[in-house]
Amino acid sequence: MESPVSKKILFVVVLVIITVVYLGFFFRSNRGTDLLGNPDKANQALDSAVKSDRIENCAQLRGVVVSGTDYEAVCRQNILEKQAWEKLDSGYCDTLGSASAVDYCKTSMAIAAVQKSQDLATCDSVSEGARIPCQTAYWSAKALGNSDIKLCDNISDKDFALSCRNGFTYQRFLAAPRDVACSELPVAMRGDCATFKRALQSKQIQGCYSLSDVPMRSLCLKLVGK
Amino acid sequence: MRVSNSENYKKHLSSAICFAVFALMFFAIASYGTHTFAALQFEEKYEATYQGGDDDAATGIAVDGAGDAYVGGSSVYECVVRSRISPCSVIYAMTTVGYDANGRQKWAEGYTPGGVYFPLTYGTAVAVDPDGFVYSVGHEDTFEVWPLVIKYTPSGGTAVWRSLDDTLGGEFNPCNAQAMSPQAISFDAQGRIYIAATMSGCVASGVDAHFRVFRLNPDGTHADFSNTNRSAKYYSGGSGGGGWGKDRDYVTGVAVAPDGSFYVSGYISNYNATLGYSKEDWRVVKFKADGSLDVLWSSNPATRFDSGKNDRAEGIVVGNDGNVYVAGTVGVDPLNPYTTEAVKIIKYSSLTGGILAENTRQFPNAYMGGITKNPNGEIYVGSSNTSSINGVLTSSISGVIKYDALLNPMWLSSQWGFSLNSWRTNGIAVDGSGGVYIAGLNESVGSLSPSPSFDYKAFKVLESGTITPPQPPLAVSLAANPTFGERPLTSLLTATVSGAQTSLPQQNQYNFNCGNGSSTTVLGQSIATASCRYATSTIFVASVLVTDGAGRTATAITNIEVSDPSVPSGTISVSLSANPNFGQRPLNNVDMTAAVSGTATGPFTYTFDCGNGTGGASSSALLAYTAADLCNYPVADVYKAKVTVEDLTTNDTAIGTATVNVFGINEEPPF
Repeated sequence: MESPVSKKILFVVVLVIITVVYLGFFFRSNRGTDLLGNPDKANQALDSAVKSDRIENCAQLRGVVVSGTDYEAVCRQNILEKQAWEKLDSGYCDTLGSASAVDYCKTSMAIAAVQKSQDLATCDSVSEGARIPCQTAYWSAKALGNSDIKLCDNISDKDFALSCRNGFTYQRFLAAPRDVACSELPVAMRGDCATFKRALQSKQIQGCYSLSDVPMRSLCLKLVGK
Repeated sequence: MRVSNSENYKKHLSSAICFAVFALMFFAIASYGTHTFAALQFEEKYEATYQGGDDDAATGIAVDGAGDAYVGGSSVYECVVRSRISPCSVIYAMTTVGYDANGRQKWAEGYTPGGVYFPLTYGTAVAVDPDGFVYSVGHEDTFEVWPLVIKYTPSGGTAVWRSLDDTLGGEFNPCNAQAMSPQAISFDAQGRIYIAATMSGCVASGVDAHFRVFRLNPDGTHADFSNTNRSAKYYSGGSGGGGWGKDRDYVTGVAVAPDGSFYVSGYISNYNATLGYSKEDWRVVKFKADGSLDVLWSSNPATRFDSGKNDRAEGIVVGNDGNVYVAGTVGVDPLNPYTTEAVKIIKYSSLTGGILAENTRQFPNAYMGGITKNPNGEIYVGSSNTSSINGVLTSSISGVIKYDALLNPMWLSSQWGFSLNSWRTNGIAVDGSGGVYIAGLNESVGSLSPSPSFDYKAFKVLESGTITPPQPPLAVSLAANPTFGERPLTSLLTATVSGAQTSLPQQNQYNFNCGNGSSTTVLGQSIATASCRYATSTIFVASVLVTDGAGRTATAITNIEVSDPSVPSGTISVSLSANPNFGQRPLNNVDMTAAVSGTATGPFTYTFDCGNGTGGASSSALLAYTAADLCNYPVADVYKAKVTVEDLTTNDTAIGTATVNVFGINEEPPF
């Protein structure tokens, strides 16, 4: 037969356990509500969860909406996006909302995949809309790698083929600006090109600063003083 | 001795008057002795540099209510071996860095979509919304130029959303050479985000560069304008755009007014069939709240300032009174696009587009570094200039100008020695307590290959007391009395100082030169006199050089004409007057009028000598004769014109003279 004292002790222990379990459950399920109405704390929680790279940590942001934005979704998307790019997993793109967002994501992913694989066959497995940009990325890299602009002609789409040739000429200009006439560059870059060459000729470093093309400006700064 | 109440009263009164006079004198002297900018105190808060590669550029800065600063721009963060042609292809990331109020870095995010596979992503502007969120705008430039807007948490730089994915609303369908590059960002009263971009169209379709403004809600969804499609648009060549061979329109800034209307600054690159894109013109346009162009406002010629050279409106802000301030660089030689003449700021009427105020600061080789305002509606403009010799950067100076709401300059940062050598300012922000924050490049002056870094700097100006705006330079005028007469002639020269004095007026020193070899030095206050005696007949040029106690100088001259004593000519005398008798060269079509007096009855022969080898003769029975438009003076000089009149009845003659003062272009008349 148990003594009354033992019963009391048992009752207290059970009560403490129930209280702890309840409070734990309560706080766990209400983490998000703690952050409601406190955007600073919500932002910090979001920052912390994203940095953790653990998708389960996004649960603490459930129900938190700041300026119309669902923070749990933002958290999940940041982590999933990072993981998708690490694996070049285009399946992630289908989780995005708008059709244009999905297209852009798949195209970007395809370009990244072919640049990594250096294999044109990679482009066969990408979505139809991403195929031409994927092939353009491949042949652009090949043209640059082999110093052969004619490789751009392997791109069937004439606009993308022109983009490949423009990119080739631009890179050739950055490598040896004196060997490339400004008229060879795309129309939009000819003004900068002329300014670049005047700056080099006159050794006026101010001319470099007026260049809008950033790599061209950087190269100008390096060359004009030599 | 007993003093009556009345006498006592008078004694106290005279004492009070004496005291008041001395007090006034003391305050007068004290006010003259106060240095113009003594009320300002300058305190450098901090400078922070973001670690990047050899080509980092901060392009914009924003500050929140807590004094935390956010800097946006582009940063090189990696160099990868990619091809034989370009062995080291650098990767540019659209970079945003958050700093706390003490200048400590909180976070930094360098974004390229797809990392190394999209190596050219640039940031152009950054802003903080009323809730403290940070927005960074830029573009990705790998195959086409895609617009990019990212909303970051202020605490850790987590991307809340990015707008690249849906291409700013589907109005952007990239094709070859098409580009959408956001350049500026602003907010309206509802916290909606306005993004101004330059959109360059497909060459094949004939659409060329023009202004676009998109609007987003704080959650990243589109807030379309009611009267347009997704974006507000402006083409200088009309609604159809242009294509190659047409003008191209480039956006630089956007600002939203309290009534929801919004303004865009930029410049138009004009196409010339011979020279190609050879000239740039300042342009400011206004859109109504529904997104449609305010055609009337935008057609005001004042919104299209043209110096005849290249002019760019490069930043815009709406003032506290709802009117619009636009700053930019003007007078750029089209053949040398770094030879800017001045930084200009214009205040436009929100109603008409007319100019309410303007200020132009001569600043060779200047670059704009942003425009902003403080809660009082005072305007700040960042600028910098650089110079080099044989490619070596010899000077790179940044500074800040503060204007009042009427665009009177209040101070220049360089006036207390803060000129930021080796800096180029690209962005400026202020807080409500005198803090000024600038972001840009830090360059190595004297280096053959400057390595710009991604920097920002904050300083604080404590504007205690009354701030006296910069004042006009010392000036002096000189008058002679009389200005002409027969020898010997004594003339009294009077010099009067005007303009701002920074020293006691009694410290002014006047050096008078009579123009006849004699000179005298006197000390005076605002006015001083000297007497000159002339014994010979000619035109004397008298001058004064005044030097104030601060060492500043000013000069002035005046003419004194001394003639021979009159020779009695019987019954005839004549006077000559020229009209006009002064002016800038070339001074043409000067009338000469001779007036005969005495007992002569005529008829007369009038023989005029303009004093420069030209002249003419006429006969007239009248006692007064005007030879209209007789004399032309292409060369600046002082001319002594002469008329000889002969009475044809008596053969008596008389001579009259007049002085014509022709001065050079841009010279002030010497009187």
